[in-house]
Amino acid sequence: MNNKKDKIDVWVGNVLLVGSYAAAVLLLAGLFALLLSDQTSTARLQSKPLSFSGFFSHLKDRSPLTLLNLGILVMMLTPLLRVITAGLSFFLEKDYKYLLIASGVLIILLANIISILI
Amino acid sequence: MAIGGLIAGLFGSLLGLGGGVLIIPMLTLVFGIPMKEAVGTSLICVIATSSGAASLYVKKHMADIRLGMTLELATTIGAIVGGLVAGIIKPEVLAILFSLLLAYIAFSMTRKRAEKNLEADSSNPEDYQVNNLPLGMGASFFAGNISGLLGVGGGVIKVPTMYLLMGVPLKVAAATSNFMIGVTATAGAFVYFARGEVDLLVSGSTMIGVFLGALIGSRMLHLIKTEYMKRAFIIVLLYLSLEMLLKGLNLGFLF
Repeated sequence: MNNKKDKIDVWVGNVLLVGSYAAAVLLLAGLFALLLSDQTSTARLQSKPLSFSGFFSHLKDRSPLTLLNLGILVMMLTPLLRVITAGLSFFLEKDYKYLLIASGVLIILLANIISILI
Repeated sequence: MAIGGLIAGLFGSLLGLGGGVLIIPMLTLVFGIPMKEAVGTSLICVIATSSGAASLYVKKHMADIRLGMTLELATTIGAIVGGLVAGIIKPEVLAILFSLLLAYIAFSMTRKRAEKNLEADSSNPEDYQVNNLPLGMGASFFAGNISGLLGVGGGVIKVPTMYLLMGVPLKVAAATSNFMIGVTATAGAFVYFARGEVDLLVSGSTMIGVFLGALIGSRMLHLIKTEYMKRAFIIVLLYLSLEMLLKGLNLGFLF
């Protein structure tokens, strides 16, 4: 049993590690790009709220904000991904009670996100 | 802001706090950012510190994923409710509540019991029984509420709950709380995100600072005597608590 428990820990740990470092790299890149871009446009962009749709519009403008927006989204989705990872490993272990619990957490989070989008 | 985040992350990780406790006063008092935006930003930063630290704890098998996941059922709902409530109450009230939270944390840091217990904690982290689950669920809901409302991780409530009420060893309780905080803060952050209260530039720069600060802090932990730092920090917390209270009452700055 111990062996199996170790496996979940490593998987979930890796998801968290990769997710948070990926987000940090994107944010750093975004901030550097912002510093290098001209100051007037950064002042104008200052008070933009974060959004899903903003990501695509920044992408069209080739704005450095794309990287920032993406970095924050990656960071926000990392915990979601680790709930899914834990759920999958519970499934592989046939631990259905905890699969159900993980699904519950996932449903709450997804319902929350979907209520934003509609 | 990135430098402020760096400092918050550094001290937060050295003292075992999520960082939200420092980020919100910094954003509101120093940079003049509205309270609700500061809470939204702080929640995002809390996700960053929690994910970074939890990845280490989880890999060292210190966090109880099953227990954490169960309590997350309650804490996520709590965080969403907290976030929604924050949307309808006045920012001044939030500032006053935050001031009370700071005072409470300062007070709980003066009792060094938890730290002594951590050293004396000889119980086997592999072998324990979880008690009082319904009570723990209730407390997790409340912790989520505080998190969603005030932009902190809520570890201040989760750790003592697991340790004192549920019979979880302290190290496991601390690691599991940290593991849960990422999901709690995400649930709350999406509510603020939906209201457009997460500013891209503010949260991006604060977040990277907090993340790097936490990274450095967790590696410096064994080099620094935290005892003196802790005393200084209690004073800082009390000062911030007072300033937040004055802000909530619209009385301006003390100093």
